[in-house]
Amino acid sequence: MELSAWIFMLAVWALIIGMTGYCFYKLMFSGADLSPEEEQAREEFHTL
Amino acid sequence: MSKERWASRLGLVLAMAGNAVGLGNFLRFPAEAARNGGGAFLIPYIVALLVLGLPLMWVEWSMGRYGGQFGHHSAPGILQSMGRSRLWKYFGVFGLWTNLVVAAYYLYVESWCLSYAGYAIGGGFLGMEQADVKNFFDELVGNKPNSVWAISAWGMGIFAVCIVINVYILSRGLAKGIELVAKVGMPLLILFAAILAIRGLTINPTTDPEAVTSALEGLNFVWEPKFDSLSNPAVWLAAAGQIFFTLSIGLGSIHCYASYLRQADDVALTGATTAWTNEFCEVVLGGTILLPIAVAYLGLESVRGEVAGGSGFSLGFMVFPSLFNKWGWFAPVAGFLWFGLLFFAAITSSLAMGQPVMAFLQDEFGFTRRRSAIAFGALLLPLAIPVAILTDASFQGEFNYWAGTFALVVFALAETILFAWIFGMGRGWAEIARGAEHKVPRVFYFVIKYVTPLLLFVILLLYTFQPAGMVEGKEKGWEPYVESLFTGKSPPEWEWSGSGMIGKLMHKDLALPSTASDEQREYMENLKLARTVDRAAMVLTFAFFATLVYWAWRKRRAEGRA
Repeated sequence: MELSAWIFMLAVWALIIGMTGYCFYKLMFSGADLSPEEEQAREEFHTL
Repeated sequence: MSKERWASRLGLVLAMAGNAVGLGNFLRFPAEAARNGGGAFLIPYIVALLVLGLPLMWVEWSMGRYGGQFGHHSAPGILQSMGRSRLWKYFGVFGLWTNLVVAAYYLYVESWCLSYAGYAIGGGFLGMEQADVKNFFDELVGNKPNSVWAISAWGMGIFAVCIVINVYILSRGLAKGIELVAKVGMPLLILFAAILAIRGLTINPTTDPEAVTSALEGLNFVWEPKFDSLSNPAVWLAAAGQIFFTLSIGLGSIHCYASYLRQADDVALTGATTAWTNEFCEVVLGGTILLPIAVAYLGLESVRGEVAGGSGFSLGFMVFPSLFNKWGWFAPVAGFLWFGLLFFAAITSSLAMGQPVMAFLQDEFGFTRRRSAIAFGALLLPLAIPVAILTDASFQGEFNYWAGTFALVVFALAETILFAWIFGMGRGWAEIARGAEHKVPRVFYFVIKYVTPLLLFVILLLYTFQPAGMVEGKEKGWEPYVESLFTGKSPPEWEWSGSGMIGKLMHKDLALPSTASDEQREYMENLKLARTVDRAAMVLTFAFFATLVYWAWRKRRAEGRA
């Protein structure tokens, strides 16, 4: 594999994996509470 | 009025990502990248993501959440709640019609994935060569040479099973149906893809006598940058098209999913998470499976020919099972993983096509969840049956072009104009920013207002008026015309391309060489007839939804809810 291909692939991978990871991190640990409806839906979901 | 909600933000993001991640992520992206400049293709691709993909994601999420506060969960109501003219709800018909029409053929392809996955894990493909796998496919879909009929009893049976599975999941609702499938399906999809990518990348002729070259040669084919391709406008158009279709924009399904959010939910972050998750599945996973494995066993030149049309479909369905046979005991598992991941990619998308139609019936006609899911299945049948019994060049191909390609651009352009210019960019920006933990960079205010609609308009124009641009017997599209502007060379004589809207209307893609046999000529005539019937069916379906919308708003006015 050519060096230029490695550079392009790793640079794009780093950008995409970095952004995906960052977004998921913020999403999971943003601390926003669920609304009562969402709490209820979640309870129903877990009692399947 | 629907009181359904998502059970968790993670579930919502996985459902939205599942909606976006489809077959194109694994079959179309690597082929498009390889034929449009390799690594250099990622430059226009990332640019298109920033000026088209992400802005449209935020627009559709915000529109959905905004419409949801008025109890609208499908495009007609959502668009109507943002525009003053009564006509906006009829533009919203696109958000129902495209979902139904696309689902009619998408579910058929989904049923192929299910058939292949089951056949693979049962060891059915063991010992098969490429020609045998091609025969298996033809038997599954009932293909016969020079016949518009393509009837296969077991193919239709599995198609019916797939429709029933989708209707059943949809009838369970958002949290227990769609969200549960996404929470199981998306991690499995990523796991299956990662296993195949790792196994694929270790193919090396020194350890695998069946390999003709290293898998890294295939990875190089996808990623080696060819910078001269950047001067070709067709490459930029291909990148914009890939971003547009990979994110499931312009369907109306994102609006529908987002309409179940509460008003303080963060659409900026969840929208961006969905888009980047899709990119992870497409670029990192999708770019690492199909071509590296194919090139390692078939050689670069052979694969180059296979993907010349910009699709890895024939590689994925007609060649891959025979290549997995070179992996010994692991072959049935690999086949199951490959078609299993394609099935999960497909079902999480097809569920998103059912929900807007269901939501419309629930909101406007008081249908229950179960009744609306059955109604979706019933509405699907008149379109799905011709897809199942006619050759893919007729109904399937036409649905894919008119509903799955052209209509998406029309709808996206209309909704962007509505959001940025009618509803107003100031209010639109406030909608995007509401509840957002991190503010979206201000530059996107101008991108959404000016760049995105302009770009969509250009794409629509280029799709509509597409020339063949024949150079030395090869179709080059707009390329020689743009080139002539800079070099002064005279462009080829204007001829409509069969891939453009006007050329399609004129059946230019069905042209036959003068040496064609009588049998081929008869086939083409029958195909034209089938396509005419198919177009009439699409117009009637659109008229049917428009009538329902008219009826629903009359009912709303009578009840004082308009």
